[in-house]
Amino acid sequence: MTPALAQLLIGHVVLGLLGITLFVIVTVGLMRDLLRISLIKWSAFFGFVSFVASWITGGYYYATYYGKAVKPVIKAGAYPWAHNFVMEAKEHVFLVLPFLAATVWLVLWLLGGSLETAPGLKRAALLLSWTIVVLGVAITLSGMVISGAVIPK
Amino acid sequence: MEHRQKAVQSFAIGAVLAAVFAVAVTIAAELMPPLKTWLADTFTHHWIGKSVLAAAIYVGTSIIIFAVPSAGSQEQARKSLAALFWISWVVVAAIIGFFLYEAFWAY
Amino acid sequence: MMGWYTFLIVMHIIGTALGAGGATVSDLSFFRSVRDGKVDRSELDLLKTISMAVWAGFGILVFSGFGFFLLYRIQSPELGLIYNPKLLAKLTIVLVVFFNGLLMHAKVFPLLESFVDRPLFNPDFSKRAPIAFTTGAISIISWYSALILGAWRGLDWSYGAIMGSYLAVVAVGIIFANIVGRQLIKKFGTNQL
Repeated sequence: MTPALAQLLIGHVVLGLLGITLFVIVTVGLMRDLLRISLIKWSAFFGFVSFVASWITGGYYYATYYGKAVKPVIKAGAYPWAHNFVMEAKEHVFLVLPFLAATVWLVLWLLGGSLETAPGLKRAALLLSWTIVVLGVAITLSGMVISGAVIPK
Repeated sequence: MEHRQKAVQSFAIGAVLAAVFAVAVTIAAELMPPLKTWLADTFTHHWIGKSVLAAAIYVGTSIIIFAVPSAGSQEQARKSLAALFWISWVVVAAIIGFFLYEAFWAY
Repeated sequence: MMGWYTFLIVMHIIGTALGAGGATVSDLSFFRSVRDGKVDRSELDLLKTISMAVWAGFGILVFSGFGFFLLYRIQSPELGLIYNPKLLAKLTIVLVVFFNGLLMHAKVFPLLESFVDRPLFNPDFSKRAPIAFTTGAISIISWYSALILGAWRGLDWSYGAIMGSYLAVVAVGIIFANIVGRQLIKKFGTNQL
């Protein structure tokens, strides 16, 4: 792995974790009766940006390196299902995340001021934010399972 | 306010369509190798193709839906977000279920 | 010059101190607060401040933990360290800490908020209090379990054995916390009669 690819991998992981952290702030923020709209809408914005950046860095690493250098090692190793199931699921489930994040950000940006008096809308935004956090954590753990299966002989 | 509510509704529906597209093209590409090949040839990698097309569908359909003359409402916005929530989980379950089957039972 | 590994160790220790230390102080503060039969605003604000420190510690732990993971992945993948039962158990427990913390924000803080400056000896609090006692017990046991697993170098138990022991301790802790909590609530009532 070249230093540039190592940095892309690190960037992918760190940006993903940052995105999840920011959406935890959004989720916890939406659980309150009194909303700190400025905090949660900016958290949602930067969370969305983080996921997009994680998408790009991970995507470049995946498209240029993973297929030819990492996948064969996993498939030949003790845990081939780490690619056959976990990676395949992860790379496609991830596709849902940026659109969920963008939608939550837009709800907060456009309608944040009225959420305190619109419990149905607030609840819908909260459920979506929860979904982002749960999927984000699952995707992160999947990444560990996949990378952990890279055991060169 | 109605414009904002309509914008939220439009982007929520756009996200639904992008998510449904993502799972549909994923499963289709696995079952129809020529589709996967076309994605790889057109976008340098099949996954990049799925990403780009899903993003295009999200932005494109959201704008189209927003442009269609109709009044926005808080209730419509809420229903769209609720639909996005449920459909996202169906999409995730479908992706996981499909690859679970492919990895352990298909061959 | 400090290398990445040493830097990550330092951050992981800071995270553990904030997290496990904060969870300890938080549980002690909670029981101290309810001892007089009510929670006042300053006591609740203290619990919220401690909670923020615990979350900060958790964040530092997660980022530094992934730092270790990336270091091993990039520099020494042949060691196969990730699929280690002790590490997987620790990760599971970290997940419990995370979701338990979110549950506390969703249920426990609103409960305490609704009872600020109100007597805790009443059927409504008695009915809802178990969530506070339970999440508190899970929090403290999980933090210390993760700490012990991180520090115990020679532990070679299976994942099942580690998680079985952890769940047994959590079960005992939940029962104990609820018994003590109920005794406290009974005591408020006796003192107020």
